[in-house]
Amino acid sequence: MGEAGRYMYAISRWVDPAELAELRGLGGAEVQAVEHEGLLAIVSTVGLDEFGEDELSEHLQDLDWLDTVARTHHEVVSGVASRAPTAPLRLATVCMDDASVRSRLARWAPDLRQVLDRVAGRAEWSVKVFAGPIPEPVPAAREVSTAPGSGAAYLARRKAHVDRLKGAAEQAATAADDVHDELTRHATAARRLALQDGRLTGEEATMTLNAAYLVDSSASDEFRAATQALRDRHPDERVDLTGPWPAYSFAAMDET
Amino acid sequence: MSERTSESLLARNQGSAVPAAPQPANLADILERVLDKGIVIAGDIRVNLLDIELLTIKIRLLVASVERAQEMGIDWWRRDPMLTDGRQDLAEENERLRERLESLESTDG
Repeated sequence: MGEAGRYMYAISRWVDPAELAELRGLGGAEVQAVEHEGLLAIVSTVGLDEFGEDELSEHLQDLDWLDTVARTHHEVVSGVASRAPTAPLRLATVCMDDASVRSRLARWAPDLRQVLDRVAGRAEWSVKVFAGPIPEPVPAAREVSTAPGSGAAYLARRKAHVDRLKGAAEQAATAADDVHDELTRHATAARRLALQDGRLTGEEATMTLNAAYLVDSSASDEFRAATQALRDRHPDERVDLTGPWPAYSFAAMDET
Repeated sequence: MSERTSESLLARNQGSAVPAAPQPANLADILERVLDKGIVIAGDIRVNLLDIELLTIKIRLLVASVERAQEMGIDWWRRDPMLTDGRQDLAEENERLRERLESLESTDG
């Protein structure tokens, strides 16, 4: 490894170095903590031949590279979050050395403490809702018929199909809103995320809700139960629940 | 390290930590969080992840490019009535109505 930098995974408090040693960072590197006045930056050493400015922008276009780095980043963040209040950092935050890492902790200390206070004792839950099957489209009748009867029949078919599609879309949207409203009541904070494309997720059903909820650890059973109740209330939709996640979606510093 | 770390973390933070996720997370879920969420602190290495939206990644990495996607006929976002709010259907319907009207007028005349 030529020139090296310090890759920052997360900000935390009070993590036992022995427990950090159980985690493996990017390229199998040792995971360490850099401390400044009670704040810990969770870091590991990376080569700038891979994480330099030019190299990074190139690598970020490579799904295999991104897959590995994103998963490792997530595993380290999860590993720390399972042990202490943790604020994840966005992917690819790289400093030149520990002094530079400490200067970030010093500069952002009040904001970082605020984020840690917000996520402490809480976890993020991910909920996705998928609509039931979309009504089959009427077979495309491309040929133009001049016979009045078939034209009228076509229009009727067409209208019926459009109505069915609109009805299905409205029902799916209403169900998604209901799930989100109900779960928001069981969470400290809630966020709707962008809907995911089926080509990335491999899902055939249409996603109608992709949301994250910040939930007190003591209320996670209640949150699970609320999700189950919503499944019963909306039998046509599929409601997926995953978690607990580190509080990625609630770690932004500019929030109150 | 301060002396705080010498105490057992699990003892002092009982209930405040996140248990490890039991199920493996899928790539889309991880990407949307590690690329788009989390604390943003500028490091010494400058990289603007805001330029890299998930859609861009999907299109670029899975179908090469928008142009290529259209060549391959992957343009569901233009055709899907769920997404276009039935506008295309309405246009087609109008077209059919015009044809129907013309055919009725020619029959009468």
